[in-house]
Amino acid sequence: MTQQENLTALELSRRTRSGDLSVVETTRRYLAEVAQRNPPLNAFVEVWSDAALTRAAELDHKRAAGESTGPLFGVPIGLKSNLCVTGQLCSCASKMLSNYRPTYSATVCQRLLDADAILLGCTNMDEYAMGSGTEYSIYGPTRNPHFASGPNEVPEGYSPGGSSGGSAAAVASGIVPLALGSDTGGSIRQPAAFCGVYGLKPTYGRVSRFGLVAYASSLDQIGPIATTPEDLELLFQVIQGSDRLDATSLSREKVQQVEATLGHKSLKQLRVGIIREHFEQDLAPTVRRALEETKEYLKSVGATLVEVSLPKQAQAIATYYLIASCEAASNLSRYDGMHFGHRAQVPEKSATLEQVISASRGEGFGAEVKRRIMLGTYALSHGYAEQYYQQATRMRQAIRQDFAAAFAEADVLLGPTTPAPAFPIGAHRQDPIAMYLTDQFTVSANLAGLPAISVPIELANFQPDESRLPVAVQFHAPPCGESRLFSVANALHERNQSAKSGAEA
Amino acid sequence: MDAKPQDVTGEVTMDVVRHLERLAYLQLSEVDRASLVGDLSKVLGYARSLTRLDLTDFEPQTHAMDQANVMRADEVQTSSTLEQALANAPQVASPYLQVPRVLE
Repeated sequence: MTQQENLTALELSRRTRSGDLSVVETTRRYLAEVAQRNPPLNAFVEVWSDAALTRAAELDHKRAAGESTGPLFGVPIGLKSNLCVTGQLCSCASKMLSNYRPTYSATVCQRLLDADAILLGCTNMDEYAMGSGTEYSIYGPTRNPHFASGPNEVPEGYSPGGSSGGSAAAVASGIVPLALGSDTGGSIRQPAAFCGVYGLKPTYGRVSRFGLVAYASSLDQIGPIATTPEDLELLFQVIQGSDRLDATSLSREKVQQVEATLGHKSLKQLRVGIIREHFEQDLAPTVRRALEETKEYLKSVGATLVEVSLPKQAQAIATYYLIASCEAASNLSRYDGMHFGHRAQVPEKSATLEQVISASRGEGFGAEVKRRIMLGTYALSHGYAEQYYQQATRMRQAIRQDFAAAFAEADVLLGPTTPAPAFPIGAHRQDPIAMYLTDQFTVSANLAGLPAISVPIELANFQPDESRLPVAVQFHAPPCGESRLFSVANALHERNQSAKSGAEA
Repeated sequence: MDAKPQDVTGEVTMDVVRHLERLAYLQLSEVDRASLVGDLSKVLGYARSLTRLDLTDFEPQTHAMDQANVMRADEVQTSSTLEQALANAPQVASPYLQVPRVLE
């Protein structure tokens, strides 16, 4: 147990800014924490000790000189390994990029540095963010820090979820107070749910994607992971905002205009939509209880519950996998083994350019990435594009219209983040569709571009033999409705705190 | 880019996989190919209910947000230096990228 173990980012930055804690000493202690706690978890894949300590010394100096200090002053942050930082490893957990060190920084990483954060290192993930378990990684799987909470002993441990599983595990274990992930179909929210922390997928376009290694560009968003809603909002505020380097980022005027239309709603004024199709699914008993307890609590604080319907939900997973795979097949065509990335050693004289490219890609990509490139290539090929890709884009429109209709009746929508708590590592290795279905409640937010948050729920009680793995609920808001999500999460955080102290008493 | 139009059932055969492999410039092992025949058939089978729906009333939506013609000022900015551009290349004969022979 160390002094900073329970410090939130907000508390930590307050103390480093006041000079109560030195940034260098704090950073040293966090580095010691990583060294000690990371090996069994495999959450971090590379720790940037030298850069972190150099930076920490600069920050201490800056404070001593009386210069102004940023909102994340001295706060260590973990970055998913698909975010570029000049000179640091950005491998996407792939053999293809195992030595890739970008020569520029992602806009979000630059904003973290401008806010005086410490970039502590990069975290494990599914290769190219394609997966839901942080298992498809050249570094091996990450383990869920709640390893002892499952119903049964499992040899490899429980999955932290994915693809941002390293970031979620790093925050849940207390190694770092904050981390960034990316969410294309649930890759922030599902691991946040599995690890018992808060995770936000922002509105499409609120956070710049410049410097995020592209998987499916019309769905990808970078977002924060934290242990409290306040910290989540703090990190979101630092990274959000328009960027001339990302033409899909929303302008400040546009965001302000939409926010003004949404207005401010107190909890008492809030209409919470209960998504019928999500509640009707087969849910694990602890997940269902989390939803019921959330409903009860929201009612008790004065919110109104209304049932809403998203009739096309049954098609969401198929729609998502077709669109994401088509965009992935296109995005990943840049890896040719010529400009950067892995190049296969093919005997020079006999090999054509095409053979070297094909061999490099065959060696560089893992099984799940190959599966999605092949699916996307099929769904985009002549004779099939109409039947698969275009049909999926029409369904995407239908899903978006379903949400628009639901938001005419409700201010936020409540449902589960995942159908069940964390699964044992390797449980879905032989069945890609079973793995895909763990994202059945999260993919729609990406298809519709909506903000959505995963909120961990402390259950009031457990059956004797029941799994004590974390459970969570999910809220969707209309575009640019992040502030509604933070206010609901803040209320539930208070409820969680009292549920926790009640259970301990 | 033709992927065997005669394959109307959506059944993915070994021939289809070999054809996609060429389209995607993605060399596979025999083991990869065999598992992809099964996996792709399963995933496309799962997607079949979607392909059978009449969705002609819905305009295709390729992006999450309706934004068009995003413009910015045409200003000169610094970009990567030659050294930076070559820094991650697998083979370099400075100041060039070195690639396999393309012409005989």
